[in-house]
Amino acid sequence: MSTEEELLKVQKQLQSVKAEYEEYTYAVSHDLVASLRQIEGFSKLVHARHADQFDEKTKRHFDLIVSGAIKGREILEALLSYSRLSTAIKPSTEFACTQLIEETVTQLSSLIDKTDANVSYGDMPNIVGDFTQLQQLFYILIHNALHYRTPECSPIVLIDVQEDERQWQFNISDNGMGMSDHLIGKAFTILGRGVSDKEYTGVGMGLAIAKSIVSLHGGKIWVTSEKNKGSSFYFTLAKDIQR
Amino acid sequence: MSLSFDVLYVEDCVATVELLDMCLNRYGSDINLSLDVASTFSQVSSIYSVDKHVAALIDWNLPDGKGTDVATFLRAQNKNISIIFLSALFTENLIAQASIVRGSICLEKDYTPEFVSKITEHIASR
Repeated sequence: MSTEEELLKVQKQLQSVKAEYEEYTYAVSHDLVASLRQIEGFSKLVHARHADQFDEKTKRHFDLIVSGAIKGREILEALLSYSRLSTAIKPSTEFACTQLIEETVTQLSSLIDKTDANVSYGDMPNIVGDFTQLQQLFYILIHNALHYRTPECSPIVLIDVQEDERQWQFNISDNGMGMSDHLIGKAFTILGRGVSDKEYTGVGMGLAIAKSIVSLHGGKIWVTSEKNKGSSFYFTLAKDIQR
Repeated sequence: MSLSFDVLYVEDCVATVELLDMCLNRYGSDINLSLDVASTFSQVSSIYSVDKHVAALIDWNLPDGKGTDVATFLRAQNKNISIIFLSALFTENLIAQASIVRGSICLEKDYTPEFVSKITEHIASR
């Protein structure tokens, strides 16, 4: 078998594995989401019909059933989003990063208003990549900067960029709650959370997704942080991305 | 005065049928949907009536076929029937498949008042 034929064979096998993986992911996610939504749906209806007959303890237990089902669904949807990153890559295009940030800020406008935040950025370059994925990356990092704020002050989010010959290096910094050194190590892990759900809601998938997106764009991501002072997330994106 | 519509509902999960029916009753406002349920694709031909059903709610995953198979069958009987695809989860690929068979809309079943409104308003506006 020639090298070309071998390559073709491997490519076909890869396509087959990819299709099988997508089918498996969809089937598992579909069935689990359906079950969780049934728990949520029936619980809400029972609650709406009979809540006046419940004592306080039972009402609280019902709330826990509903919130548990919602949380399970959110985790599943985040895991699905993560698993699809490498199988749903669109062809790279060149676009203005300013447009991407503007759209992201618009998506987050209600949270920005609610927290009285200030999000600022200077001149941004044209970048190359999957617009949807890179918008998700900026969304996660800006959202985190707004979400993990301290109660004392309004969020200030600064977006900056530098370049060298081969790549762009972005920095998104905030004045939020920051992280202690031992939490920085698990910041980018799947379902890794450093805060309690009671204080800050979330499922712990955002930075794992961010890391995967950056990696798919030929870059690296890291963070410097100081507890109660704020965090700076850095990531690089290759200028000439080939996939 | 409330509006009433006869709708074919193709769904194999008994609990889902019951839950949707309860949601329609609770959140359905003044639009009443009367559901005739087929639990499989093969049951559709004996339950569907061109003169009766103005719309079809079709679950995407059926034990003996896909929602698109049902849609193709119904479209052949009545090209104007409203077809609403339901699933716990839709992907871009599934939505593209739905548009090929001229599915009117695809809705993820989350059983919220908004979900019910989308169904009733879509059928009422046909």
